[in-house]
Amino acid sequence: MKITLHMLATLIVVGMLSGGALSLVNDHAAPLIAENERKERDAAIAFLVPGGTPTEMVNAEGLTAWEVLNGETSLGWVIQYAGIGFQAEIKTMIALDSERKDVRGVMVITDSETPGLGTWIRLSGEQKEALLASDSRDLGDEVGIAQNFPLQFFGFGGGQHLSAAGDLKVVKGKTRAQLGTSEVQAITAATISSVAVTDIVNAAVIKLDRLLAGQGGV
Amino acid sequence: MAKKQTPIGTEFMKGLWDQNPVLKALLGLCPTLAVTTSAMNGVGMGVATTFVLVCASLLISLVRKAIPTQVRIASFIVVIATFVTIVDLEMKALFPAMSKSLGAFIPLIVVNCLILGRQEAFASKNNPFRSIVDAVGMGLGFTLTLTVLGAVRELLGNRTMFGFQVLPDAFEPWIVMILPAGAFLTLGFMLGAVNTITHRREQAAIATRRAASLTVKEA
Amino acid sequence: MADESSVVDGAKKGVALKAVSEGNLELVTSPHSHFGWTTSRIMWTVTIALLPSLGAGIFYFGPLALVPVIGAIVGAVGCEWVVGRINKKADTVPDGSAFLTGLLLGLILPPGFSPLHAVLGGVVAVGLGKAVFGGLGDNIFNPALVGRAFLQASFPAGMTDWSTAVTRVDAVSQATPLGLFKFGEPSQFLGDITTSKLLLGNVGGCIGETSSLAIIVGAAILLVTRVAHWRIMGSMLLGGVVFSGAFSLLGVGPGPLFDILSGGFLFGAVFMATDYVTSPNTTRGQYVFGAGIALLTILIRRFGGLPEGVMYSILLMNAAVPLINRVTRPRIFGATS
Repeated sequence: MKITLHMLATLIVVGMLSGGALSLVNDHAAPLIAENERKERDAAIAFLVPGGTPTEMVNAEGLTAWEVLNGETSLGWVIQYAGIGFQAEIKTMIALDSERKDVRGVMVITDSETPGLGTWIRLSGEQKEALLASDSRDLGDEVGIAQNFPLQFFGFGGGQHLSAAGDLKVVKGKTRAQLGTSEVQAITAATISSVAVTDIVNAAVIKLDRLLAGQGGV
Repeated sequence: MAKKQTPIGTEFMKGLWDQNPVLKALLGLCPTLAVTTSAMNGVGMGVATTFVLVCASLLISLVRKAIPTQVRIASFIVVIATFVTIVDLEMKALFPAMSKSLGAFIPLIVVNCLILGRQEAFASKNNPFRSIVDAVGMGLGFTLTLTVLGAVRELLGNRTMFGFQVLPDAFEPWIVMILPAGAFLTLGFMLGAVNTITHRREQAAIATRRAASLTVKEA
Repeated sequence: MADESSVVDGAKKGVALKAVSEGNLELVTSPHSHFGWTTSRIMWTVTIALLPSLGAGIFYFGPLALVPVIGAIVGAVGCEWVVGRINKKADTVPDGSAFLTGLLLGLILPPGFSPLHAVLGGVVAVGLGKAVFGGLGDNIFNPALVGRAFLQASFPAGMTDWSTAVTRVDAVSQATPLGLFKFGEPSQFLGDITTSKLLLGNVGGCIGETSSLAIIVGAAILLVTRVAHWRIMGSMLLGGVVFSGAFSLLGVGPGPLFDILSGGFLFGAVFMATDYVTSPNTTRGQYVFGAGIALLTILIRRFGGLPEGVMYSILLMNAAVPLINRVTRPRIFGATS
């Protein structure tokens, strides 16, 4: 009996101390964690559609969308949406123009793709800098190089962009001249990751249209 | 504590080589293999584990006489889990990039058998000072091993070391090294090397002893 | 082994062990009937059987297709020599097994593969595939396939690039038939790939596996010289026909003829699955082994993420060999149940 009480008392004390300590730590960490997430999201939106204030328009069914406004004028849209990649979820931020006709950029936020293959779906630091200098890069014949996969979503130069009608499809081995505005060149040996990103973009724009229509249209 | 105690220096050094948690005891292999895709990840995982190990060892050692044997494992796990959650939350708050790359493996430190093993085998039987020394030694051995493993994999699989490019562009990275298979291959070679060195030392020791006994006989 | 020790009494065993350690007694694994075949003679016979495939590869992809093959051989033989020096054992290079491993590895690489990476593949094949297990006879996995698996995981882009090595004007520089089937347009696939092309070898693929005809000639050499038995080859082919046929009847996949003639199916059946060391040594086990490879290959081709699955199927079944040997052990004559 005495031992049982001793055991119970020990576990209760240990449990209470642990709970108390964790609640203190959480009080300190939780706002910082939320702040980190917000900063990361804001940085991504500011990179994709610079120069405006994001206003949350939709937040439903796992999709969040912001319209980036500069005063009254719309600069574009940013959608946060996730889908299944080669091994696990791929979380992306997708930029559209103000009329939601073109894709203006795609950034992969988190993924677990195969290093050195599927991970080419990520935008590198150098590519980010190059894109900050100009809105898009003319890929020319380099369109088939794996590293350039994410750049395709930022446009082909000369104001030509991928379509945001939800009809993007992945192709292989085409030259720049052969690629249409609804065709995305696959990463060699990482077709599944390429298709995954493209599918997420298609699903996101279709879902955003549906959700906005449900809200009574824009 | 009537029996003679091991010198404190030996207690510290044993974690580095003689009882190295990864290379000798093969403990905590899950994080060892999973997160060591780069040297920095190895350091991060090692430091996080060491922190939990040291805090848990200190606390367990302080209260070791108050905890009844029947519930000791449950109490140890709660204590360990608390410190792991603290590390996880603070890392997310203060080092978001590191937390992202270590992913689910920080919460999984709870089930790292290295930590529970040290509580059961050492901290619950020794005074707080010795427990801390033991925990720091073990943690250091764990961190060093993970860092070397991560460095080799990062070098061959990504051409870089701690994020800086070391090998020239002409060297095409061996992607297998940053895949799980590369972790097993590298750890295999490290274990092979450690076993070879241990074996040679033992042989040398045997040879010296034999030589010594021969001289005694001749004399 | 345990049964023998009960028969041999201690003293005899001591003498035998002494003889072994002094090198006076020749110890060989079963089968014990010896008819003059040495390791090196078998290895060189297999090498000759591989020559038609090598020739076909050079004919279709141009002479530069030799480069990765030579690279793989250099890596394999070099590693064998170095390991021999480190272990301070007799030189095992002349027995030809490392040369054969290198040649086999070279033949299952794409024609334009980087020679330096081919050397690395050869080193890995002999080093990780064979030497770390204790050398020829102690390896669990087919060394050439270990080398290829390493290269596949290390340089996935180079290992799936079928276009760079074209040195002849009319040489083949297209995706493999299996790749076209899995990732390409169905119309293009049906139009381009005919059975006669698959048979002769005028399709994209690894150097040695492109021409089915050349592999069949090699198989004939192995069977006539009795270096390889038909059991594993036969059961793997039959398995391929049955499983591929069953799926195609259910409306999945292109059918047995395409499955067997394309990719590495024939090459794997003739030269990889028949490796003595890494295949079962019971008759029933060999049937199980071949059929198992066929089943896994067809499953990977139909439902996996990769277009081709012969390599992983053989490696997986290699791992299952000890189990197969145990389960299919022949019943001792007169024993009950």
